[in-house]
Amino acid sequence: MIRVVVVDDEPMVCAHLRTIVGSAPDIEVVDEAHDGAAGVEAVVRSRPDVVLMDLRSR
Amino acid sequence: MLHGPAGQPVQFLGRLGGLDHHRTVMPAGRYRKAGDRNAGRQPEADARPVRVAPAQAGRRPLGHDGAAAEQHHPVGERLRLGHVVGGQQDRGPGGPQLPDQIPGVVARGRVEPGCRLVQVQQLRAADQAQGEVQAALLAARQGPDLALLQADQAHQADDLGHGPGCPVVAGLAGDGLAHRQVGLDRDTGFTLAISLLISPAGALAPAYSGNVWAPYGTVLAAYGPFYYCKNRRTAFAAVGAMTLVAARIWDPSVSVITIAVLRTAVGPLLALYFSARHEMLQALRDRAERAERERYLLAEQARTEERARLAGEMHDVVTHRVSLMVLQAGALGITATDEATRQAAEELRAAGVQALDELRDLVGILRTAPEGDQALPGSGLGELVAESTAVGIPAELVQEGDPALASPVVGRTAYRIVREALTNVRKHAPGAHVVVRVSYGESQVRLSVRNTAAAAPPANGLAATGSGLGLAGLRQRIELVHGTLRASGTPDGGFCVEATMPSYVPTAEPAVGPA
Repeated sequence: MIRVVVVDDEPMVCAHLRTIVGSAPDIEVVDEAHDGAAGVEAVVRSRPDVVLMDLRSR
Repeated sequence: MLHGPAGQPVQFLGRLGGLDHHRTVMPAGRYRKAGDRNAGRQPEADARPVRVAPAQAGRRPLGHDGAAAEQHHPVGERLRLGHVVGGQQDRGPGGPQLPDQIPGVVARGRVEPGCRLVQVQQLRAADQAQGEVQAALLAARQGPDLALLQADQAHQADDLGHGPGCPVVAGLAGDGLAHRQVGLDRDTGFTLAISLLISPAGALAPAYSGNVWAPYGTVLAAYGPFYYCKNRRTAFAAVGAMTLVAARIWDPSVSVITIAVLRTAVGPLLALYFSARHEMLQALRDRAERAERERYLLAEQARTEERARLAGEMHDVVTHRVSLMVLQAGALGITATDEATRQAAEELRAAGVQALDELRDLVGILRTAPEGDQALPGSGLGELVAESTAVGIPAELVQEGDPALASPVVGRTAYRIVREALTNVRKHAPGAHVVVRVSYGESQVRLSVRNTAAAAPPANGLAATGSGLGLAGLRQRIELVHGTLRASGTPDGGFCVEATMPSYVPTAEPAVGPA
């Protein structure tokens, strides 16, 4: 399984991305964050393979 | 002194009276002076008719025709003199007209059609009225007003003993008018006619109090060359010649010379005043037009910026919303359990994607600025520098970092700054060497345009062009992208324009999250 962390400042976007990405059979969204600092924490905490991040978020 | 043998009739055949009958010009002796030495002469001795044969008149200009017959005859001499000059009129349209076609003038000139050669005895005083005859003849050619004026002048001058001048005046004036008729510039023709009409008369009778035309005429005549001549040197020459004539240098007298100089000075002074005033008005008008144009350009620029801002906002806000809709539809399509819902969600998502594409096109159109704003950051600067080198300002471009790091609006602003700065160098520091340095960082774009001191003084014409708003406009433009601009002279006499801008510029505040 590919472990993914979603970082976006909009909770709704996070939720939908989580739904869409998670629908793939071999991808699992393990964590999500709503700003850069929380994203770093989530990465440290969850050790994902991929970070899906909005570059221009807060 | 100048009165010759008096009283011969002058007979014109063919040319003036028609080919079929003779006509005698018979001036009356009203202006004859009591003391005239011709008074006691026998009319038979004086009254030799001057005949102009029709055949000759048809062949050559009238002035040459009677020359042989008139050589020993002062009156004939005067007539001939007038004709020699006035005779040029014959080449113009409508030249050979008959005196009796303008009856009023002919009557004033004492020309009595139909008188025959046998009436010689009555014509003792013909020479006094000679000028009037001339005027009448001229009137037949040129028109009543002028001829009346000349008739007046003619016998005034005659009374003063300046007889020979009058036919000359009449003839010269006719000459001027003839030129006017055949197509000289209207103003020039007018000036010429007035000058020639009045100036010699004034010069020849400067002290005569009754001649009101001469002083004003001289002023007017001296006014013309300065006002209408493009070449001041010609004007000076013309007025100088006029002054010499009016001052009667062949008969120097302090008062006459003084009056002549005053007369010929007033006209040029007036002309200089009026032309200076004309130029000033023209300059004011130009300035007003320029101000209006600049206002229009500024308004145009403001409109363009407003449009770009609107486009940016529209893009950011609407695109964001539509993106969310697409995302949501995608999620719904995945999570929906029944086939119908999944199908609907998929259609919704496809429509959203299409809307995003179309929005992008629309924003692209709205953001299109009129003048080459779409230039890519890197290549555009290179072109500018090459252009500058091509027009004689050697420029060098130093780029660091990746131009792609700058967002398009920053690239466009950089392009504008470099273009304006290079233009300024070309205007104000010809011969300088320019270094354009751009460094693209992840967070900032730094830009500097530095030129060495001018190698030559700036050309005034070029430096004066432009609105003078270049740097102010640039500063405004940079503030729009949250950057700073610094422009200052350098210790070595050159100039430096430095700008710092963020690489990424949000065109609007970040959209708020879902409520």
